[in-house]
Amino acid sequence: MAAITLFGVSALYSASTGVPYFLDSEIPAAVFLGLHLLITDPSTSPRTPLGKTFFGLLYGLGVFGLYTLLGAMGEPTFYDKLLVVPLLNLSVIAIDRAVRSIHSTALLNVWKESWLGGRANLAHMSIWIVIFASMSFLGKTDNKHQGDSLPFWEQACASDLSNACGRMLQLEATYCADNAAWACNEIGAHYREGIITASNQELSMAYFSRGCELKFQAACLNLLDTELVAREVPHELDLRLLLREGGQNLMTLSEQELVERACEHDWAFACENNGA
Amino acid sequence: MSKPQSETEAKRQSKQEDQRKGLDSEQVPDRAVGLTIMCLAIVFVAVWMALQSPQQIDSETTELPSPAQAAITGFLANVWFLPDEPLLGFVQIPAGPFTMGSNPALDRLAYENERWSSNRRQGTVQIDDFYIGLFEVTAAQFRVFVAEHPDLANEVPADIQGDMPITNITWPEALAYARWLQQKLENSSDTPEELRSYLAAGGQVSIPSESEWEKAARGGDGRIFPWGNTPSAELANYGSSTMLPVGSRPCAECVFGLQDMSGNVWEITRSPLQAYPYDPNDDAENLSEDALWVMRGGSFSDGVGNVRAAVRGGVDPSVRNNTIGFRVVISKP
Repeated sequence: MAAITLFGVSALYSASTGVPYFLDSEIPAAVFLGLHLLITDPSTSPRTPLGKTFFGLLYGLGVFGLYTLLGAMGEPTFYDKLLVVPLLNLSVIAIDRAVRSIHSTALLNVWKESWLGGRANLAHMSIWIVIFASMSFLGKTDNKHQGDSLPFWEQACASDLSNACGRMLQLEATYCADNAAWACNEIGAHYREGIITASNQELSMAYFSRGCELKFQAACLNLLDTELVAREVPHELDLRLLLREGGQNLMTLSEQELVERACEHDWAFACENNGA
Repeated sequence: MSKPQSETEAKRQSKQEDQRKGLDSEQVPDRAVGLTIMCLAIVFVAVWMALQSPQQIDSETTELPSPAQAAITGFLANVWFLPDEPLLGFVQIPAGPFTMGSNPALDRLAYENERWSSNRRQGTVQIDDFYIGLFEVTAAQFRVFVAEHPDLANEVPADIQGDMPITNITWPEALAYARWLQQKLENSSDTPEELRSYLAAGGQVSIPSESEWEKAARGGDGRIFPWGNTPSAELANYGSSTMLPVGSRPCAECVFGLQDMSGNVWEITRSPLQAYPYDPNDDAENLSEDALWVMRGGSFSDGVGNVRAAVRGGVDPSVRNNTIGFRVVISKP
């Protein structure tokens, strides 16, 4: 229920805004597996069947809300899927009590374990496996995800899609913190230009300094001339960070493979180079 | 048949429910304790997350009082430890042409990267007038800047003597110091009128371009060292084991009277390391290459070949090294 809710509200958001809700992935495979244990632990989950359903629903909604909340607080958003668990554990008794206070027999019996012929666990596991396999197949776990593609966000920002520019800045800041010099220069340029975000010269200089120390020549030139906005395509080392799709840095890929991968991720310069 | 069965079933369910309710209330001896423990856990996680979160680049700086630094003879403690000279240690270099690069026929120690082009050994470069620091930037001067930028506090060695050249700073940090000094000079009543006018006319405090540096080091006559064509360990600190306070090798013979242009510490410039012929309009070329900036003058640990006025070293902008420092210029880009 948790995964279905999370996937559902995320899909709803994407359908209504045209941009993905999560920057990395809906639920990374490792978290998906871990959560199965965390939120189905019998001693910390509701005992009533309907309570369990609400528990999963609240988990999905909680992750959805917490992702935005953590992002707004400047905290790492990858805690979104974990922080909800203790909060829900606290609410277990309240959920069970609320469910038992429902006097509608029809509603209480909406889910009958007898339907599963006494094999409730087997049925639950089957449903879970189908959902997990479907999400993996659809690339909603660890595969290439549109949300971590900077060319996508650049396009979305240019098209003025909902919150796209903010998400692009957030993503660039994350990559800059990971030492992708190109991202440092880009975010510095945005703060200098003041077009998609409020102009902040001090912040732009701080980002240019970081980009320059990472040997990105355009960033160094931007430090020298406060009127300039020099840009350059990502260097090889940047691509090894920018194209990792939430996994390990791509340190072993050949340059040719990197360029091909960049083209697959819609980096126009890479497609031009690849074609050449 | 069915009615008694449903009644029995309902009773059984009701009994089970009562049992469950009873069990719940028994298993929760004191809810306040549980809530307290959970709240503490959440606070702990929040604090831990705050400590673990990646450091965001923060533009805000806290204004801190300047550190109490001992007075240094020849420097003004109340004017950011700039030299006690008529122009706060800035020396005017007149506009005009100068010879750049090396002629191996005259300078046997010349390196290949000092050659102007495939068919010319040296070139002539015309530059406008500018001001350059009499000395390399000192540790005391840089500490005043760091006092207003606490984020740099850990990057600057605390044990270095105030009149020593500042070293172990990166290229962006040197530029940041220059920008900070510009603001100070523009807004201070201690700034000499000549400098104030030059700044008002578009002058910018920065680190020198390599042409500015070379002209200041060798003048217009193409000499090999700032003092002439013959090496002299009495006029520059090179081939030694230690860095010296700025101006420790007085050089009255040096063109424009600048001190330590040869040796003591390498001085970084604002010119990218590219093949000659020198043209500042080429600076924005080769953006796809990793940044490498020219440094000039050699250091105390170098031999005579590296302290010639035309020698060109390259330094990565993130490098911190105890043989690399800088001096500032005020010029019109």
